[in-house]
Amino acid sequence: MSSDFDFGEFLDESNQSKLMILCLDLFGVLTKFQVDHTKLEAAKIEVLNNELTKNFEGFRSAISHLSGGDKSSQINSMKHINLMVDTLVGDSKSTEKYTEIEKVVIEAVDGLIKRIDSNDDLSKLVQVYNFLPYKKEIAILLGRITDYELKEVETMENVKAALLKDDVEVQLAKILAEIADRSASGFISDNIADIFQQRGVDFHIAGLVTKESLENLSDEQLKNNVLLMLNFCEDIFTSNPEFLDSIQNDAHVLTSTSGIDKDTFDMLLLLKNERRGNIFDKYPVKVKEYRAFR
Amino acid sequence: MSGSIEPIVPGQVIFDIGQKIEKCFILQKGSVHFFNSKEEKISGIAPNTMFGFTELVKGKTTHSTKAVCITPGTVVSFSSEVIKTKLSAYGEDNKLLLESLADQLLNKI
Repeated sequence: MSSDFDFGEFLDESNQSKLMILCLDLFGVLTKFQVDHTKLEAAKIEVLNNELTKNFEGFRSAISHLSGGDKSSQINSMKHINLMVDTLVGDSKSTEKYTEIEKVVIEAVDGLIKRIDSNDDLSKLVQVYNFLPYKKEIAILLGRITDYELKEVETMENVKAALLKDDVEVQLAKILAEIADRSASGFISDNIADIFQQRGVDFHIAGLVTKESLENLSDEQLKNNVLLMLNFCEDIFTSNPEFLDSIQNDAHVLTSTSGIDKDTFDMLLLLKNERRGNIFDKYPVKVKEYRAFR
Repeated sequence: MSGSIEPIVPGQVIFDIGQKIEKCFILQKGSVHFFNSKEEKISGIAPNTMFGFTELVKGKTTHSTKAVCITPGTVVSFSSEVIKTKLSAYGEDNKLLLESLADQLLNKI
């Protein structure tokens, strides 16, 4: 793990642009349905050798685990690249590269849709849509559908058909509503999801909260109690075996899902009383506190 | 101690007054405003600016302002230990200069 952060290198915008260009090249390689292993290795090494990459351990780790034969490593890397490209400050060279890769991505989309055969294929498409600024809404809807881990062939085919229509968003929203209705676990109503979203919780996370997790909780508690997102590595369950008990004593677990970094989890918690988020200070976790409902 | 990219959303409190300084930040996209204990805005920053570390220069361990995201964007966060390590490497003269700059900023609060 890197033990430093090089501000001078990072704050130089031309360095950020260079890393963005390398990320874009790698994303272009990953977008193809059949990933070219030679091109992938070359683009991967370029990113890993970049001076700024060492400042971001999570990103570096995702890219270093990238493999041509491992779809989940590719999807994870695409998530990291999307976040990195959205974050880095570009210049005319990176803008030119973005335009070049955008064309590659647009040309690949129809082929990716037609060859959807698994939840991984859908997850990859979510990242492809996330890359395109004007397709973010589709990415959000498709991401929520993917979170249900589709197993029915018929639904998968419906999603494919919807993605090829002009009114994609409308079609995907319909499919999402149907899947939600059928879901045995019962996800929360739009009104409750709105409370979470107004507190700043990502739409994608709010949609994963189940009715069961909200039993005995009032709307007032959902609006006013301290709401936290915990991100932690799965190792914590061995290094701090009391961690889960601590969570259950102090908080209601509303949902949990895999984190953006490999082997990490995100957990949405509503604290049971007025105690602040610092109750988790003693654990190796990242804590994000959401604002109160207004 | 490496950096992490964190999306920020309007209204999100990035840190609050009295909170222990555990992380410092570079604003990459969006905007952030700083408020004093009377909830008065004392400053705002634009992208490519570091923030959340001024108190460390004065040897303090808690934030004296509240930082709130105004327009959505991203920050790069990193452990405050990185700043502490870098500060410890400065000579006395440089430290005095930094402290006087930090004083000017903190006196605005």
